[in-house]
Amino acid sequence: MVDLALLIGGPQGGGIESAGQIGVRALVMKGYDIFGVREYHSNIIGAHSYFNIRIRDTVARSPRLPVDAVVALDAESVFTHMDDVREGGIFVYDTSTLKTRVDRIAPMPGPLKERVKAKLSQHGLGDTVADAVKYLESRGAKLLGIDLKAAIKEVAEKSGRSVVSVARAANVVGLSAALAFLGVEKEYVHRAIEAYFAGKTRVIEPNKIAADIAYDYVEESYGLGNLPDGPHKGKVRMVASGNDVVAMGKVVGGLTVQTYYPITPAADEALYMEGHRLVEVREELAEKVGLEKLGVAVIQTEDEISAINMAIGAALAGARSATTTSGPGFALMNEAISMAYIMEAPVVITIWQRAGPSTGMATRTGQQDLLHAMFAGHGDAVKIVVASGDHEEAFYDAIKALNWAEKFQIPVVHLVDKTLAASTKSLDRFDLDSITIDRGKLSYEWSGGEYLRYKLTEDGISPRVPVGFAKQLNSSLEHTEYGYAIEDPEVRNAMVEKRLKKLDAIERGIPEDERVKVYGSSDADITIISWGTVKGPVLDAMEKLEDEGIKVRYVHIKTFIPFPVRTIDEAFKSASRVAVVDYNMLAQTSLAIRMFTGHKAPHVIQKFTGRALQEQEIVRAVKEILENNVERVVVSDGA
Amino acid sequence: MPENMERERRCATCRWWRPHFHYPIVGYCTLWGKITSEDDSCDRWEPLKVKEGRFYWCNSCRRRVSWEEALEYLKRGEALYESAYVDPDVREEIVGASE
Amino acid sequence: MARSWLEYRSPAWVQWCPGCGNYGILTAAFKAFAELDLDPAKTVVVSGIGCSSRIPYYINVTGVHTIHGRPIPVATGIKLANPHLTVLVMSGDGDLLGIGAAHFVALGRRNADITVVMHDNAVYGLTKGQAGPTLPAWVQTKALRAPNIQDALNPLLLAIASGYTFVARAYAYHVDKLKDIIKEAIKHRGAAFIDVLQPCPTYNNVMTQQWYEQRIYYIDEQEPDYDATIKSPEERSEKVARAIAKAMEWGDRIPLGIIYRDLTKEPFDARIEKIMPGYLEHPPATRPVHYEGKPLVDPFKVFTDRVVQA
Repeated sequence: MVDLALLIGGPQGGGIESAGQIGVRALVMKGYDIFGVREYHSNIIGAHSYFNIRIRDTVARSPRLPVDAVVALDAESVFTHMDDVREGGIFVYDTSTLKTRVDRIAPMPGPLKERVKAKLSQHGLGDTVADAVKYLESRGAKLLGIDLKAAIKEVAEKSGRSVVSVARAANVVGLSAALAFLGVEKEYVHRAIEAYFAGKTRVIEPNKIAADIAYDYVEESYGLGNLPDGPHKGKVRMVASGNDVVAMGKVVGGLTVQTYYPITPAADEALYMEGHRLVEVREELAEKVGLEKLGVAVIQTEDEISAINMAIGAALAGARSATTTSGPGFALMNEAISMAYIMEAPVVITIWQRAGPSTGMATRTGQQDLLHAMFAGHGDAVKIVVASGDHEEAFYDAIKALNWAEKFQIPVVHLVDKTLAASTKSLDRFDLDSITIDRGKLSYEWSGGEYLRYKLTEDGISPRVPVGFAKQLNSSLEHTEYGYAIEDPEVRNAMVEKRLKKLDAIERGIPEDERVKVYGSSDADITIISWGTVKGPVLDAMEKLEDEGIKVRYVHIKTFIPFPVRTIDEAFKSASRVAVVDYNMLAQTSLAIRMFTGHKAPHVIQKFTGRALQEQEIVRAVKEILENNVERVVVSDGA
Repeated sequence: MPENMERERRCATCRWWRPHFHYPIVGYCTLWGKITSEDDSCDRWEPLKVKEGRFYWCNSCRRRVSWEEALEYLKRGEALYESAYVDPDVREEIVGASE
Repeated sequence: MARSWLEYRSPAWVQWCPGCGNYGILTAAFKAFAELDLDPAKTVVVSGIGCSSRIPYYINVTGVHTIHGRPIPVATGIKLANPHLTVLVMSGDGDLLGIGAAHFVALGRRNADITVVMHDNAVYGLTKGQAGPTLPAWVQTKALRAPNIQDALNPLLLAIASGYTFVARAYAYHVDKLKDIIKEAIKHRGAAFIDVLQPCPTYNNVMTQQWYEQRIYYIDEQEPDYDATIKSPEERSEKVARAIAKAMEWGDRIPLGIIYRDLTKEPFDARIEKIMPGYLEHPPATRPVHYEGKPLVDPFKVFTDRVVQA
């Protein structure tokens, strides 16, 4: 079985992005499944960032430490990741940084410097890169020093260009060295460079030269590795981020308006969509709909308040409409969420959660907006809340969210997070035949006399004719069936009952198997309950623990409103032990479970560092709970 | 930048040189219009002259400094330059700003 | 005239105080809509919160009564989704220039083809007469516990600076004059703003009907040569300066009428059409999103920048 991990670290803007993307493509071309998570500071250029890529012949879905190869071409990366490579793994560094002392690295956080110095001094070492290299040798890592100065100059000279992207060349050298060591043939790196920089010929050549230099280095030192081709070889696949797949899902799901105000980590979703604002209609359907191209209006607004209100306005007029944001932006949207609910406006709000409170750590991850999403909207306002655990789920959930919004004429929150946003995944073809686009009781024609926007119906859902197609009133005030403002107690009751009936319709319309997914069997030693991107690390940890004779069941919550009461209740009743993974301080998932089912989670596994949850953290936490009956395990792996 | 960098006639101490922002072991020579390494040299070497009112790049402290600070830092032996060299395609390398 | 203006009157009881300037604005709107023969289904009045924002209930066209400060983004969303609708925002000065000022500015920047009718009474009526953003400093209406210590902003200047391409001022009780200006604003292709001065007899005992009527004058009557309509970009600096000077007049004499018009800037929908051809013909509200429930887009054919041949 092939299960590898590769970490490339360096300063933000310093070539990590293209090196990571090239590496990922080379590995996918080689036939492997990959999952690459990007960790970065809230900074434009200069602060430390890294890409942690998992490579498997089965399915890659979480990061893990230690990795098999680290590429650390600046001093800060060497110090930051000197504990992240496994024994026997390779550590690539730049020999010209050897004399650099920890204290001379301006962007490096002070406390990290102190920890590094303390660690090195425990081993009787000083505080230079050379000392870190000795430390790595003592830990059994294979060191591969590259003379980066010479390599970059060689690239510049051989490519015959007066100005080259130095950072890219450096990183492709480092990446290629690691791939050569792991056994990926050079042709894959060349192909990946061509694919990633498609059309930019002047960029392709220097990077290929950089790859060649690295392969020569490795061949002369450790010799090239040997890795069989992976099982996906020959397939047409996708390599996309979570931001990308949500944009894709929305576009495939028939979105016609997306509004947004720039915020990390949501903006990339809107930007990717804007880059694809004119999309081709499937060949077989173009004639049937009489169009070859479809437009998606992506509008940058003056703030998030405008973003949600504009999306609601578009929805009233009949657009399939959404907005995208993160916690702080969603906070600004609260009042309008409540309006969308009483106006029965179908709108989707994608929340890319990041680490708070307040601005907190804007480029880091977490699941701190669960309760915020569930309870947003004053005055008894309700919405559907759906959460995605991985790229595939996010694609299909984006479509589902649009369907549910229109079917139930209600706001739908799609909860995702920064880990998903900034992680790259290899994906197989989506199953288009499984997708249905449902616009509910929408009609563009009205001939039934006076149109009642809020007509009382059996299921609480009124026929919907967009603004512009029947004279109507849409009101944020309590209203009559037509939409006139009214405070009459009986009409008020009738309207509240109408909206309650709609909640029943949602209860009936979203079956249990869309609310929750269960992995493993009830005779497991422990049942883990969680949601979102906790899924990957837990499923991977399940395999590892199974190898050690520990059976795990994972209950993956997909919708918080409506809540999978039956499955969660059953899980608590049938499990010998239950642990909830809560990616936040308040144990919000546990609170939601308790609110809906009355069950109190006896064990909780938490992480607040804002770094992506990793496989080994779950493995460790489960053992800790099973062996020592610990109530609360806090994990914090990852630089 | 190695600590013991001496004030010798090489790119790293030359006024025409711009150290690479991310990998200052190499840089861009504005005179010859090419990437050179910190310990390359040529006969057009000139030391940096701090001019009133200007800003400079302090490579050791990784920030821009005013001319007043620059004079101080030069005395302390910091590596100062007129500016740093940033790759022309750096935007494509920044998460959140790609695409 | 195909429709009588009475057809635009809704059956709802109008809840404004006697003497309220809103009645004048309401009647002017009926008459303007009738003279333009607007289709009630395709004409959308969007309001925020406040006394004046009840207006969608009283006009027999499509109405959207939103939340405080947000009628402009909601209206923009409607117009964005369906550029073939006639969209008006009718709301108060507190709604548009207090809580909603960011959106007021943004509409100008977009030059979306929306008419904003601001019911400007300088007070927050529904919450008992607090100072509105157009109430001058040191004025103390009876309702205020202390004199107003915040300066008034000049709505016309803000509109010009924000990029509105039609800027006018009117007076609520001069219904026919106001009606003509509303008609011009609706016909204008782009963001149109009308500052309608409006006494609030209940709370604003300073800026009363008498106070206004001693000061207002019509530019077209007293200065027939006044021209601040930009017909080519070269005229901009001169005519903007003229309009700004006119907009600055306040005090003993308050000018009414069309202050500024720019016919050279393209509206938002035309801008979107440029970057997304086909938008006007198949706008977001009506373009197909599926065929018999099946998606119209194959991601592997469209997002080819993410496709990798393994």
